[in-house]
Amino acid sequence: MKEFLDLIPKKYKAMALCVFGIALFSGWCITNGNELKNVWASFQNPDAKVMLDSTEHALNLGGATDLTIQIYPVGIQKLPQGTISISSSSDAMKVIPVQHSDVESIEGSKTISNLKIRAIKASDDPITIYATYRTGELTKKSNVLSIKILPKPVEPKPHFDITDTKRVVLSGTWETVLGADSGELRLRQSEGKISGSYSFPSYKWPSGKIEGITDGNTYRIKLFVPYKKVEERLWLAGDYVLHKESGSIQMHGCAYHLRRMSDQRAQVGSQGIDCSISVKIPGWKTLQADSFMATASFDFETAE
Amino acid sequence: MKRTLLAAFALSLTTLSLESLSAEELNSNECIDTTYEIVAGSEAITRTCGEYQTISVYIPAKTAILSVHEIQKKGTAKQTYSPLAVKNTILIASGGFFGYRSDGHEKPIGLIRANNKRLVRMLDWDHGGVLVSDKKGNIKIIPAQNRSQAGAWSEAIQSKPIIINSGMVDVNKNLRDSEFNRVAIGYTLDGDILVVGTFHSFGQAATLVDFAKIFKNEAERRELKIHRALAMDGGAGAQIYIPSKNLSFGDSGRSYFPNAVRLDATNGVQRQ
Repeated sequence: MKEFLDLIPKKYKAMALCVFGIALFSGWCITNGNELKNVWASFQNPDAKVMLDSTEHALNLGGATDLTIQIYPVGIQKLPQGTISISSSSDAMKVIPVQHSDVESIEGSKTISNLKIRAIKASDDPITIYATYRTGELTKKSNVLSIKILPKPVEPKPHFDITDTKRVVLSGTWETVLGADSGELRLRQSEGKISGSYSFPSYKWPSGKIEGITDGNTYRIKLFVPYKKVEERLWLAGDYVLHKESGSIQMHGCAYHLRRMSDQRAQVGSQGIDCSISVKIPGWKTLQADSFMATASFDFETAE
Repeated sequence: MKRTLLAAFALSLTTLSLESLSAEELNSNECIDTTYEIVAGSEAITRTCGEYQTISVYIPAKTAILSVHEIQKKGTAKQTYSPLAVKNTILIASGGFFGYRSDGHEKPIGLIRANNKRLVRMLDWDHGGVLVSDKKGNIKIIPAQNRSQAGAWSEAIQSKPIIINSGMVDVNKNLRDSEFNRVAIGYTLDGDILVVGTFHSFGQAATLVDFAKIFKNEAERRELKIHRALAMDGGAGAQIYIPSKNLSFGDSGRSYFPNAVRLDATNGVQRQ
């Protein structure tokens, strides 16, 4: 070191020592940066930015939507353990599952997405909501969201189509019994065509789509079943009766499990009356037959 | 040599199996035509193609009387139609439409006249027509705009639409037109009658436009120039029953049948 200093001209020695000192200090800073950062941060107050968002900005009464809260520390200090709470301008909105929840310490950013809001009361005015994040002495509010509450959607139910022929429209949700299994049909009718879905939770085909036709007081509905090498279908056939006293409509008939079989040519038996495999449909083999019944409430007021 | 023989044998087997496969496809697509002589020169031809079936019944002029019958019952077509059949009945076919009363019970709709009595009032449909009969062997289809003339006839049944007019298809493509079983009754200016029905195993036989073409083809096949043809109630109500041959065409299930049209041969015993 001494030899090295002797090599430097006398008039530059002081400057060289300064440069060396600065380089030494910089090196120390680089190797101890984190400790320095912590020391610097300990002199500052923690700060955060809180953002609130929801997947829907209008909710039907009874409906719910997910909330997403993002918390970002402002500055280099990590945020200690805190809480988050959601406030609403009206009790028409309820936060689920809880209005307040704990938030672990945050380094970087934190996204909270396990909260929802549900519209529990009707309201003419939009409801405003915001989130509040608290940690130590820091209290930070989020942006304000405005959410409209819309009336509960009217569930369609079977009714009269007020035309010259006053037909019955089967659209709606039907409680069904297929053999020994209960389930549900959700039907949509357009003209004489039916579409929708079925759900029989304990049946060999628990759910799927349907399509069919209705005419007069009869229905013929195909339930799509999983694809096999040879096409199969569940075929519902029968007729329906209206009961004004109970305000309901009832389907009676049979469900036939069919498999395509081209050499079945004759039509045998009465579809929807005889719930046995002796009913034959041209082009199909009847593998199984069960009784089928469905009930829905009926809107008789459309007849007035 | 052995290898050549084995290869030839394998090739033959493959060819045979392919041939049997194509024969099976041919069978599954082939149509079967059957002709039935009924009474007094009336003839029915059925064509069955897989899930589809078409029947056309030709009734020569002045050999049959058309009458309208109230039923207003639920049951299968055979259960409700067979009590109407008499010894000389050629066929019984679907009648008019039905709707619902406010209490949920079915009711016939559209003009129904039987034995010179009006049973159901006329509806002011702007299309379709009224099938009328004098019960003396004359029938006619009166278009909607002249429907008031129907009151002068002993038998009348209002339905819609007219599918053939002056020999031409008279229905247009329409988004509301869906596939259903269909029946229509038409006549020539000479008085010949043609009844055509088209049916499907799952009730989805033809749109009205397609059915009108089927009707026209059936007429042309028999060299008949149909003046007018009127579609009767479609869907589950579309039925043709030929009692003398014990033949039923149409949906086999239970439905409400408001009324029916019967054609009886004039050379037999008549009974109301």
